[in-house]
Amino acid sequence: MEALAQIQDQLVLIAFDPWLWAACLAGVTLGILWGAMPGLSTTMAMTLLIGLTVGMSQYTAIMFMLGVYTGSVFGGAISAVLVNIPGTPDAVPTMIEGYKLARRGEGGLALGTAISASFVGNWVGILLLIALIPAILFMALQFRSWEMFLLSLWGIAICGSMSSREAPIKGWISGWIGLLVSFVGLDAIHGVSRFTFGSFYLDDGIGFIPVLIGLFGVSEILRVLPQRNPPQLPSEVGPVLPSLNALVRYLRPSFRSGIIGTVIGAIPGAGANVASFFAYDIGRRRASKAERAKWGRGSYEAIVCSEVANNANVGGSLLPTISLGIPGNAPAAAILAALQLKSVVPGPLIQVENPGLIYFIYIGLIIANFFMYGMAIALIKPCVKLFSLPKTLLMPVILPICVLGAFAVNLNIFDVYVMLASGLVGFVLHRFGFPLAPMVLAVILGPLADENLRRALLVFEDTGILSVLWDRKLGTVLLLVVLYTFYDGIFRRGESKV
Amino acid sequence: MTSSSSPESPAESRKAETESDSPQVQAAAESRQARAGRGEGRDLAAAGKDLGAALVIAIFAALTVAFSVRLDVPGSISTAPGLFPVIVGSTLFAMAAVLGWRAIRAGATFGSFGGMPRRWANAFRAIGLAGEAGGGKVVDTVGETGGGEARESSRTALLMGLVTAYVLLVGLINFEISLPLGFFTARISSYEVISVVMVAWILRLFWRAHPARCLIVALVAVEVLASIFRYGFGIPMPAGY
Repeated sequence: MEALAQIQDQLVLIAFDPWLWAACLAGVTLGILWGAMPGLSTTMAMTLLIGLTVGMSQYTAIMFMLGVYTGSVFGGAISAVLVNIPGTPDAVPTMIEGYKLARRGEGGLALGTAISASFVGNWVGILLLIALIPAILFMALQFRSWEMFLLSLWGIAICGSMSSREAPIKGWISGWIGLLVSFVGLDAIHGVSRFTFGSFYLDDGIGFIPVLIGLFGVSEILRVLPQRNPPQLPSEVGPVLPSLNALVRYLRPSFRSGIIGTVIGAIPGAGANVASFFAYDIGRRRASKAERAKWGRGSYEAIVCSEVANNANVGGSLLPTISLGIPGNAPAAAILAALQLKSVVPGPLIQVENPGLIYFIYIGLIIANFFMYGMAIALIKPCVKLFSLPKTLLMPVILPICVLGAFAVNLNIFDVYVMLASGLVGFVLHRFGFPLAPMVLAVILGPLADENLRRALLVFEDTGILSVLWDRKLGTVLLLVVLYTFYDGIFRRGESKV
Repeated sequence: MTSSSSPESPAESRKAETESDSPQVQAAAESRQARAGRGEGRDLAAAGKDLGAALVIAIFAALTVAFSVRLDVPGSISTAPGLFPVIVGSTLFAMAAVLGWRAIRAGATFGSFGGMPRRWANAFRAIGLAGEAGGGKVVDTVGETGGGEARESSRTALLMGLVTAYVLLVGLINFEISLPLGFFTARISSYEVISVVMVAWILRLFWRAHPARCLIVALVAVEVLASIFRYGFGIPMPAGY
């Protein structure tokens, strides 16, 4: 009864305060536009836009940040589908499928599918957040160092085999190179300099944002611009929203990917990028034979899997953030910071110290989701028109955005050099047939894998590896899954095409 | 450039291949196909690329392992900073070996990946010559002298040079001008000036519109972008920092 009264209070509060609606709409719009810019990630949007909330009231600030979060996660799909440059790292699977559809003149429908999937994904995340807080938290907290290491490794392994289906070894090599890149800098446990060669610029490591912008932004420019007849997207938008039949057909993959996104979001450290790749891989394995043949060549179901998962991740990542005070991922950490800026301390006592705030956040997410849907639909046609401009005009204009995007993360010109180097390396690797997505994912997950492996090994010194394998069932299952992924890639996928 | 190495036109080559089936002609045709990247030749060319890539990656992996084992070990071996890099480096070396072995099985030899550096060297040489020929028609000059793939390589090499120069100039040149306009102080940084010039240049070379049009597009795009970041989000420009 008390909960119902609190929900009612929050509904009244939101309904009669137009500033809350305006803040949410502004946040969603800024988030979508920010996410749509090549390489500008959700994390960057959240961290930079926190500054705008300083003068806002507590509730307005929360609504604004929830809007930015929801909008920017979807926004990444726009440039991924229309320019072949993902706005955010988690939009990489959407890019793999969506751009191929866009080149066939189905860019509008591909984006419409992504929007609908994002809308559904957000709903799944919100509903699971409300209904299953204790169960999901219990599951998420089973992930300790060993499981986190295996989860990271699995992410890179499936990303490698998914993005280079003919020769998974090339995908894994790309991922392994990404891991090596992620080792550069001071190591997290002892503070020992690794591969810095005396350069203090490298002590902080190589950020994944400049690498992402370089690998997908700069290398795409280098690839497309010199062509005599660069690929041109048709300016006709065509149908935008998927049919009801299609939506019903994608119900099962949506629900499955939603659960994957929410659960992975609830695991501290594992972000939307892991969720979207997992859902993408599992979606392919579960798809019908005819649909599986389209995977990697322009599949709507694949877009649904990826987008539902990364949007469900929003709700999932807020789970440990609100209830434990442990951010599920980097953007959730920005939400945590925004809450703390307004004197709210998330954690087990949040409901005692700020009664009703949790319900306010739920309702805020629902409103942000509706705004995201409306704004995204409204932006499809102008976006398709904009990105169907000649590539020879569009690509040079994207170049300064890449430079600013790389610089804006740390306000450090060294990141711009990293972006350039990544772009040149990415261009060469692409020429040699290596996929680039695994490298980006590995640069993101590398530090997580490294730190957790060493922590786990330290624990194994006391307990012994056999007892760990026996006691930690989740870890053993994950280990088997990782080994199966490699086995599948080597012996089955390409029929010994390693 | 490459046109001198294969004097026959593509149409003549195909005619010769269909008219004669002697082993020498077939071998020559296969060789041409390999160069052109068609049919079985394409597989061979891809295998050559894989072998080259495997070699470079193996060297990179070996160097990584060598550097990793030399890292300090402050605590136990389980938490050694070089532990995971050694594991990753070793497995990367193994993967490179498998890639190379697969390429050799597909018919690649250590001589077969020599074509790519040669093509790129030709491309850079062409840019140098075209650059000497002068001015804004660099791409046209390269285009007129080269063949299909070489022409694209030249354009790519030129673009790489321009992008590299752009990034280096943004990093090296640093100034910001303030223009008080009464109610508002407009600021122009070296980033904007360099970006406008370089983007306009790239547009001129690849979009091929009138120079004034390229300059206007570059100016509007860069200024809108810089204004959003500087005034909207409060992010300083690269050189203004």
